[in-house]
Amino acid sequence: MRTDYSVIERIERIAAAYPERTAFKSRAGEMSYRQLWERSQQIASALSDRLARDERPVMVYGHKSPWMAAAFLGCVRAGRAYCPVDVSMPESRIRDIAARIGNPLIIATEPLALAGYEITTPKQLMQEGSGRCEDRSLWQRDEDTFYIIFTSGSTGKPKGVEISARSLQNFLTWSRGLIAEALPGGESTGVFINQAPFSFDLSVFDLYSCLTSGGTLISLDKELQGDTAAMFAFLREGGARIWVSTPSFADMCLADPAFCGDNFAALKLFLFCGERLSKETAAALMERFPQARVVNTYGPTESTVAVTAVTITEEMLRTDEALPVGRVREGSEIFFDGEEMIIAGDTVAKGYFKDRQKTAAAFFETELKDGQKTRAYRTGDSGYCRDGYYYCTGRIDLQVKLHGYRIELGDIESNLLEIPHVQQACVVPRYDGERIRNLVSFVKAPEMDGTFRDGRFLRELLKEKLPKYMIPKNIIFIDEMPMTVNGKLDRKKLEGMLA
Amino acid sequence: MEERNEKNVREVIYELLEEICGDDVVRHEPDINLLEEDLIDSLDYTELLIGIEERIGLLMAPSELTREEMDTPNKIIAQVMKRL
Repeated sequence: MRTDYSVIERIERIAAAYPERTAFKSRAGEMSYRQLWERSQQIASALSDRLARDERPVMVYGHKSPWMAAAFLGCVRAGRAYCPVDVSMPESRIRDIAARIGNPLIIATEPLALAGYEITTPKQLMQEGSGRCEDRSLWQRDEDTFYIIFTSGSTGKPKGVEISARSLQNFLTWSRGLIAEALPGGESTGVFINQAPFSFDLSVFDLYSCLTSGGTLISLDKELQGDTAAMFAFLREGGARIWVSTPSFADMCLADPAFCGDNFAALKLFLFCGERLSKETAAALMERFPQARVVNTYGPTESTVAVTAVTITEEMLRTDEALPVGRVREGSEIFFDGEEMIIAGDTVAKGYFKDRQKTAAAFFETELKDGQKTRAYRTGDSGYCRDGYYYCTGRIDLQVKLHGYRIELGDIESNLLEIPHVQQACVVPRYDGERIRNLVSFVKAPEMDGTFRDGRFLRELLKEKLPKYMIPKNIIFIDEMPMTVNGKLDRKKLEGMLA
Repeated sequence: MEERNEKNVREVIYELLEEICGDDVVRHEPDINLLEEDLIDSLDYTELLIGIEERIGLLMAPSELTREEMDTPNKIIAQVMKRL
């Protein structure tokens, strides 16, 4: 029997085996596997009719509607990559991405006005679909681009990361294995939660691990994410079993004592990606959810969501080191150029969409240890490897020079996080024009009063671990760390608070 | 020119120190030791003297003062007042 089904083929088989099972549920509605399969076919058929030989990718705009998933699948079944864009993106950026994609047709599940484009809804397309026999040879497979996700680069124009059907398939083979291994005996799927917007590739982790294993995805819209009581009720009612989010989002939930195993008995697995997982977050989750496993993962969008994983143990919490990001998946290899982590292997992106220059700067051809030719990507992340476990220390571009010293901001943050009471820490430079004047650390430590003495106490503890030039000049206590739309720590906003 | 009484000078110095030290503790605890608390390093000290010259019009040469004579907000204010 074949085992290397493509992503689309797997979903087809699941839809045939469990047609009435709910595939996707959010406050915007729900869809069974049968509906998902049939509707995406109709959408594919309409796209083929409308676009004919134009094989340019299709932007799919919206938020957490089940029609998003139907539209994604419709595109790839019509032989086109899709590019997910969330409602949280500012209009100028949407316009920019639309221009780059170049397709005059945009599929939208939420209202969108964009002059110069024909905007249609998945429902409209579905009604147009001729329903004729599907041409399966059109399905995206192997090196065909499956999706293009634009990364919110720190400066300048966003870059569209092009992920092939093969890379996604390779990633999912690993992610499903990881999930099956972490779930209690014999289970291989369940109810997944989706926190991230679909324009953030963390969502690929939950969406496709779920759809290719026959799970049910319960997707949280941003309004719901802002209403803890309603969100908890939605999660409990949905029987959430597999949690996929950024650590910051879990921190937000942990702020409520109701977020515990007694109230969420079905939760068995926390999967984190997209940000550093702190020991405090992991420890709090392990204490409150004794029945669940906490798994940390790591990877850039440019290598399909994640390439390392590790189940956090009590022993890891007791060491002086920051938590590892895990062991590298089979099919990927991580090596170092100086401190910079380079990822090679079978999930590395094709490159940046229509941007040869940036592609050439970040991607290159290399060989794996066994001599196999493969692509490699320079992550910009700094880290090291010990006993087969990888550790991330920060971003190469979060290295700053202060009074001639090269300082890794992430290094200071890790050390702050080692201190009891400190739940979150973010160190940012304070600028005086172009020059970095000094460093300031924002700290979330609800159990401390946030006085000057508390700040001094933390600085004194830091001095035991770090050279003096690395000690932030000021410690500013804040109640809540600002977050970006993707649910990551918003460094730019914190920097702005110092201006 | 604004009258250079102690109240004004005090306010100017507090503002200057808040900018340089990045913490309003200098206002709330004017006897805090700026050196011991790492609120001022040598670069900041130079900026403090430049700031005093710019905002109060008083030139204070580093050589005429020891750092110990200038290590708390209150001492700085007293040194400035003495020279006005």
